[in-house]
This record gives sequence, C-alpha cells and structure tokens, in this order.
Amino acid sequence: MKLFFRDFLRQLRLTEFRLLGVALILVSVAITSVSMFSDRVEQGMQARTSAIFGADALVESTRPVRDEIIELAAQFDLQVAQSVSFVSMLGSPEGSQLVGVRAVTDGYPLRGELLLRDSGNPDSNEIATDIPKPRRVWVASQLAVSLDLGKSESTLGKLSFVPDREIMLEPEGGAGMLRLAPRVMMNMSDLASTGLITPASRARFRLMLAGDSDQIAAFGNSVEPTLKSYESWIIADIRQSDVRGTIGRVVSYLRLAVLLSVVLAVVAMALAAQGLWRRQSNEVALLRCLGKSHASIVTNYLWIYLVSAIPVALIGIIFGYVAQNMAVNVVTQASGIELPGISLTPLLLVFAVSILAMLAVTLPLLLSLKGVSSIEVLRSRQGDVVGRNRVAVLGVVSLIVCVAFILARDAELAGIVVVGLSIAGLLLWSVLKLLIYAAGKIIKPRSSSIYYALKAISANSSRSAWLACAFGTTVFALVLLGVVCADLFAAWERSVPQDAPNVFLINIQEPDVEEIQKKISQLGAQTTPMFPIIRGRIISLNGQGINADELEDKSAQHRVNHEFNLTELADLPVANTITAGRWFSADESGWSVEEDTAKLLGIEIGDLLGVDIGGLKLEANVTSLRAVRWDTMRPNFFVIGSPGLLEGAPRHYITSVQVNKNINLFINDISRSFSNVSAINLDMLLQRFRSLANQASGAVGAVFVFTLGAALLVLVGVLQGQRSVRLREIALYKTLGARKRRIRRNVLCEFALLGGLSGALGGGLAILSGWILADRIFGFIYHPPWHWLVLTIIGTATLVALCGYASLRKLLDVLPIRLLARL
Amino acid sequence: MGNSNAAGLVLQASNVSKRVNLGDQTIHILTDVSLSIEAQQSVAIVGSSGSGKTTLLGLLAGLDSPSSGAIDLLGSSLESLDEDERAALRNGKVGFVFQSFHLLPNLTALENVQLALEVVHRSENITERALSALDKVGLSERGNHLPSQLSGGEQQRVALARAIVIGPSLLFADEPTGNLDHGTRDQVCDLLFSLCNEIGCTLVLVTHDSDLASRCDRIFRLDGGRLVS
Repeated sequence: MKLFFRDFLRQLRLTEFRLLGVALILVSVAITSVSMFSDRVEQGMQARTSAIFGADALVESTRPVRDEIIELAAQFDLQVAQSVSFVSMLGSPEGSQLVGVRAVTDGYPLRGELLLRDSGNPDSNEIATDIPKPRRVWVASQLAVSLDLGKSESTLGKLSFVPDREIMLEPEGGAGMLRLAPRVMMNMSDLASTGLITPASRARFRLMLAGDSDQIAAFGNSVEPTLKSYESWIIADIRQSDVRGTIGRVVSYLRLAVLLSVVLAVVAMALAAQGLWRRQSNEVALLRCLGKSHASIVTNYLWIYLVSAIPVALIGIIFGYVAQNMAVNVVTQASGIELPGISLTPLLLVFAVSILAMLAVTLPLLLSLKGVSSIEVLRSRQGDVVGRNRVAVLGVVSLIVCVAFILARDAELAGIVVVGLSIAGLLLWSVLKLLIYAAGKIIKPRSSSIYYALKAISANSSRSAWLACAFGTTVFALVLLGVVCADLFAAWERSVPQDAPNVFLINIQEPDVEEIQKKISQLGAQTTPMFPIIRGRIISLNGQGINADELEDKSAQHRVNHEFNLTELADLPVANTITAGRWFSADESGWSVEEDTAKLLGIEIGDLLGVDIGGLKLEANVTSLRAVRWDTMRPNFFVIGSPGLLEGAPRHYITSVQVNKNINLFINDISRSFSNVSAINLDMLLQRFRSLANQASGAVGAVFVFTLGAALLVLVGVLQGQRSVRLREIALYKTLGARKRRIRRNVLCEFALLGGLSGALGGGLAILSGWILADRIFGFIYHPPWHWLVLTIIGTATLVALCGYASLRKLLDVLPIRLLARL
Repeated sequence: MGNSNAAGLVLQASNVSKRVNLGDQTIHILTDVSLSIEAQQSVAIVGSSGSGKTTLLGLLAGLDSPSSGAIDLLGSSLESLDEDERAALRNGKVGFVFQSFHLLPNLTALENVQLALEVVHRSENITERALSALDKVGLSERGNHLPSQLSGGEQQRVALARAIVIGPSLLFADEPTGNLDHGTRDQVCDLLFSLCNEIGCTLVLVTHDSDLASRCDRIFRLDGGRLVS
C-alpha cells in the first residue's frame, strides 16, 4: 500500500496524469448529475402521470369488474378503488342537464388530488380527503353556478341528492382534458338506488390500482391473459402523458448533453493518456533496462490507474450530486412537481463507467508496452514507440458506444449520436487531409505568416488533421447542442406564447355560436375560431372494413374501437404542418389525417377513408398528412374534413379564449348565460408550464456550460499533447534566428487556420445533424441557423488561436539554449 | 547461475552481426563481432559515428537481439532468453549510464536513485542507501532537487549514483561524458572509475573520447561495423 501511494504521488506530479484525473472527474460529474436528475424527473413525471390518471394502472370494463380480478389485486397487496362513469340527466329546479356521472368508492383517487371548493367559502380550495357522503354529490364549476350548493336538491334517476361541494380539479379528466358533460361525483353505495345502471347501460367500470412499479407489473402479467374481450389493462405511462411533451424534451436534451459531455470527456481522457504515455515511455524503457519485467510494469501502472479512478469518481459523484440537487430544487419550485429521492443505480453506473473509461484509455497503451524495447532508451526516441496502438482507438470507441447506449436509454438517440460522431470524425479527417494536401500543392512561397502557417499545416499533415479533427468533433458536439438548445427554447416560446388561450369553452350548440361570440367580445376577451366537433369512428379503408381485432397494435385497436373528435376546416390550424400531400383547395373534398394516426392504421395519401358519424357513413380520399404539436393549448384533431364534407352530421362547437381579467368571473358569466356550455380554466396549468419552461431553460443552459467545460478540456488535452513537438520546433526556429514576434505570428496563424477549418466542418455537420435530431427526437420544425456557422468559424478560429498561443507563450520567452536543454 | 564462467569471463560475444532491413535494402550495422570481457576489467568500445558502437553495447547488455551470433552475459546465453528473461538477468546485476542521463523529470534526484533499488526489490533502508550513493557522487545535499534544477554534470552524477546503488557486477556506459564540458567530464570520469573499483564491477563503455578510452584496461575499435582491433 505504501509503495502504491508513493507511485501514485509520483504520477500526480505529471500534468498529463492530472489532466486524466480532471477529465475523469468530468465524466463522473456528467453522469452523476444528469443521470440522477433525469432519473428523478422521469420518476416525477411518472408520478404526475399517475396523478392525472388517478391510479398507477387500471382494469377498465364495459361491465362490472369481476370479483376474480378484485381478489387477484388483493393477493398482490395493491391499493384499490373503483369508479363507474356514465352519462345521465341531472334534474334540478332550473331544469334538466346532461352530466357525466362518476360513482366512486373509498380511497378514490388513489393517485393525484381532487381539488374542491366549499359552498360557504368560495375562495378556499381544499384537497379532498374522502369521497361524497351518501345522498350528497359534488359537481363541476359550471353546474355549481346554477345550483344552490348545500341547499337545493337534484335528482339522478330515482334518487335525489344535495350537491354540496364544487369540483375544481379532478384526476381522470383534469383541466387539460376535454369532457363534454360537466362532472357529478357520487358515492358508489348510492349507485344501485338510482336505478340508472342496468346491463344495457353504457358505462365504464374501472378497478383502479396503486402500488410500486414491480407489484403493478407483476399484477399486469397475471391479469392480462385472463381478461375478456370487454376488459382492458391500462398502465399510467409517461409515454402517453400530456406532460411528456415538455419535460420529455428536457430529459431528452439532458441525455443528449450528458452523452456529448461524456464523449468529449472520454476523448480528453484518451488524449491525456496518450500524452502521459509519451512521457512515461521513457520511464518504461529505463525500467526495462534496469531489469523490470513487462508484466510487473503493466500490473504496477494498472493498479495506479484503476485504484485512482475510484476516489476520482467519488469526487465527481459529490460534485454531480450537488449539481443535480440544485437542478431538482429549481424544477420543484418551478413546477410544483415533487421529485422522488435519489436511487443508487446511477452511482453504480458512475463507478462502472469511470473504471471502464480508465481501462479503455489506458489498457491498450499498457498492452502496447510490449512494443517498447529497452534498446530505445539508448536512442532517445522512446516517445515515438507508444501511442500507435489501434487497439487503443478501438477501446475508446467501444467504450463511447457502450456509454452512449447505457446513458441515452433511447436507442434512436444513442444511435444518432454515435453514428453522427463517427461520421463527423471520419469525414473531418478525410476532408482535412485532402484540404491540407491541396494547400501544400497550391501555396506559393511568400514571406508571410499565412504561408508559413499553411506550410506548417501541410508539412505535418497527420498532426494537423488530427488536431483539426479533435477540434472539429468538439465543435460538432457544441454546435449541435447549441442548435438543439436554441430550437428547444424557441419551441417553448412558440408553444406557450404570452397570448395563449387560458379558457376552453366546449359543448357550444350551433344556435348559440353567434351569441357566445358576442358575449365573449362584450366581456373583453379574445377568442380563436369556433371549431365544429363531430364525434365519429373510422370504419373502412379503401372500401374494406377495418376490424380492430385484426390490428396488432393496442393503440390502433383503441383508435378504431372508439369514437373521437372530427372537425371540418377551411384553413390549416396553427401548430399543424403538412408532411405529405397538400391542404384542401377550394371545393376539394377529402380528409387530412394526423401523421401518427395514419402510420398506426396504415393510411396513405389517396386512400379512401370511411367514417361513421352516428350511423351516417361518409367516405372521402385522404389528401394530406399533418404533424401536430399537441402542447399548444389549442384544439387539435386526428382527422379533419374539408369544408362541407361533414354537412348534416350532428355537431357542437369548441373554442379557446384568452381572458386577461378575472377568469373566474368570466367563467361564471358564461356558465350563467349558457348552461350547456362547459368552461375549463387552463390558467393554473399555463402558469405552471411557463414557469417550468423558464426554469428548464436555466437547467439546460447550465448543462450546456458543462459540455463547454468538457470541450475546453479536449482543447487543453490536444495542446498539451503537442507541447513537446512544439518545443522542438520553437527551439529550432529560435536557434536559426527567428524573432519572437515572427514565431508568435506563425503560431497564431497556424492555430487560427486549423480552428477556422475545424469550425467550418464541425459546425456545418452539426447543423445538418441538428436537422435529423430535431425531426426524429425532439419533434421541432427546424430552421437551419446558418448564421451560426459564420459565428462558429470566427469563434473557433479565435479560441483555438488564443488557447494554442497561451499554451506555448511561455516557451516563446525562454532562451533558445534552455529550450534545447529540455529536449 | 554465477556471475562469471569458469575462465572469469563476464561477457562473451561470438560472430555477432546485426542487420536492419529498410525497404529493399539491408543495412549491415555490425558484422561478425567477437570479443570477451573478464570480470572487473574496464573496457572501452571506440569508433567513429555510425560505426555501430551503441548497437554493440545494446546487444552486449541484452537490450536488443543480434541477427546472428551468440552472446554470453554473466554466464547465461542471451539467445535462449526472451526479453523478459533478459530483463530478469540484468535485474540487480547490471547498471547503466547514458549519454543523455535519462533521469525521470518528475522524480527528484533522490527518487531517481531510489527507483533503481525499487526495481530490484531492495526496499530495506532504501532512502539511506540512495542517500549514501548520492553522497558518493557528492550530491547528497541536492537529493530533493528535480533534474531540471541540476546542471548536466550533476544530472550525470545522479545517473551514476543510480547505476551503482544496486551494486552491479557489470556497468554499461554509453558516451557517459558526451554531453558534458571538459571540466565536468574529468570529474565524472574520475567518479566512474573510482566507483567501479570500489564496488568491483566490470565497466564496458562506449566513447568518442580518447582520453577516457585510454584509462580503460582494454580498447575495442569498431570501423564500419567490424571489430578492427
């Protein structure tokens, strides 16, 4: 142990060894902070999704849930609650109204919150701790306006109730979801007495379940095979959640950032390791002369590297933990989403990757020691012997690929990054070699710094290509991240502009349309167009009936089995982009289908699509496919018909309104004037979303700075590796009588040219790759920011020139004789 | 395995040749060199630049393998040994002094000397023994200095201390005074011979310096890769 510490301390004196350590710290900080953060955010999102769902999973049926299923849930020790939802008429002194009734059992909701307001105190919102008492009902805001809460009686079927509280927010159809009929919630024990549920009733029976994810998964595995055709198993999955759009992008971005940071830090490690071995090959040759065996040299170094990787990873973990904790605080404050505690899995990953990274960059070099002959020590050119091992490159590349796939947890993202970086590296290398070769042929002798710089670049074409390739790949990573980052912010800006609608008005009947529009303008609010809503179901494609049972995908089955909202529009709605075909021209009749739905059901342009609207069957050709941004707080549709196509179909209207003054007053006013209209207040959701987007921008920006740190480390690593060669050159120039000023100019010029070249190629490739990422991972409409390229070229040229000069500045001031003594 | 064979020879080379292929061309660096060196002798290998002196030294020390011929070092035939076995043979018995010193820049003078003891696993009193070796070359006060803080002569004296600290039977020196000025050169030469005498080791040195060569018991002269005298 004592010997180990002594050797370790000796190694610590080497700049390259310290650089290796710093790069490894960066690797572990990157993995710790972003893995833990994205893990917690993802778990938080899962919890939020469960909250929206009201449960972690549920069994849904069109008949009462069978006792076997309830017993099975008890065996798995899961929390359970039941609900029955159906549409009925609520009788009140003011008349009858269509309502969405939900009867619930104790424990409802298992996840999330039910927000209530008391009749006595309109300003007090409180979270429900129980369910409605027997013979009492809770009602949605728009009903509460017309009913005298706590006093008047209402009837549902054969039973009369006293509505006593107002529902402000509920799971299973919270503020963001559109429900046509206002909610009435009752106690399950009263359901039978209403006489509303008969075997012929159209009702949805739900067994709601909560437990840890393993329990839920195990129950799902057991119950799924036993389900009848009228039953289905549904898990609250973030992939189907409406929060995915926002936070999912942040997580994807963070993963991309961490991936690129790790790649850059591993490259910096590889560079530092190469530099280290150039220095240490002297030592190795000498040790061989003194009689030390190959095996014992390898073992000795391996121990030093591997054991030192552990405390280094630990330092990274501490920094990473602090960083992610700060990020978590920001998100918690901004979004109100409580994030769960840390899991230890990322820590194991950090240790594993740190040791693997150390092994990947040093082991191939250690193994190449076989090539260090002790005779080399007599010839003073040991440094050239090591570092040509192709295995080293292979080792690092393999590690990067492994890390990419582990960290990204998204094969497509990891694939794009790995393939993108490989192509970028290869392309950069080839193009640079070609350009350098061409420069060597074209340049004419002149006594200018540019000539000498070009001469130096082409005379050392391999060194120059390697330098520019390393810088170029770094620029590639940074610009890619910057481009995506900028577009991410822009997408947020676009999705929640300051004038975003904050109230949805639904269930507007055709005769009320004009009156409502008048009322809205009287109240000083701004409205989007009225969208007609027609409920329909897809029944045929190209004349062939679609049988849901023949479809393999469950989402596809669901889309065919269930009615959904159709509309007819003359203009392409905001936040919709045509991806195939074209929007309806005048007098053209056809369908425009959302692209994911089209993909799900195999619908293509020109297909004849048949739709059933309450018995009315309609057929038309598909004329366009659309990409839809769902997170824009505006009405969006899977299928849109051309104007007049749905004529005669029963419809109601929907619109979104931007209310600048008191929203509650506006909603009350509308509800009083139009009792059938449901108003949904989105303001709280919007404020939360804006705050989250703002804070997430900060977190993303911080991660970008982190990647920048990794990039600078690569730059320092490359320059450090060049130092001994540059020392030789500068010593020679000085000995031959070159002035300091001239050498400085030549150095600046050479590095600026290399930097500019790397910037142009790396930046150009990054902008092109951003295109692919924006489309495939982040779902943006991408506008290539070509002006970035110019800035990148100038920026990289300046940065590389200054850093290159700074790394050699001290050598310029040293007397030639002293420089020669160092050789 | 003894330190010398029955005749008192510590080193014997028979018809040693070294060839290097550069593309289609074969360069003959050494041709049919035969020599033998007895224990505790001092031997100089001289010759003009490119005559193959350093290559011969490397071959004799087992740092490289000949293209043909046989070398017997400290009673062991080198041709039957691989590089690791040759390293094990040198371990603790062979010392080296190089023209460009080859001190490790990140280690102090004392640590550079200690390194030789560590390699041969003599970890007892390591500091005292290293300090004693430095004392013998007159540098015990400079033990904590890095090579970059020492002059050329001082660096070579540290290298000498590193070579003798293990008490070698055989000391190889490659142009030990080649990088030194006149005054320093004499100082290092005196030290080299006196220390070799003190520990009773055989000295094989390669040099251009006729004064240095003349102080040795025997001189081998190389010309164009052949031993001429």
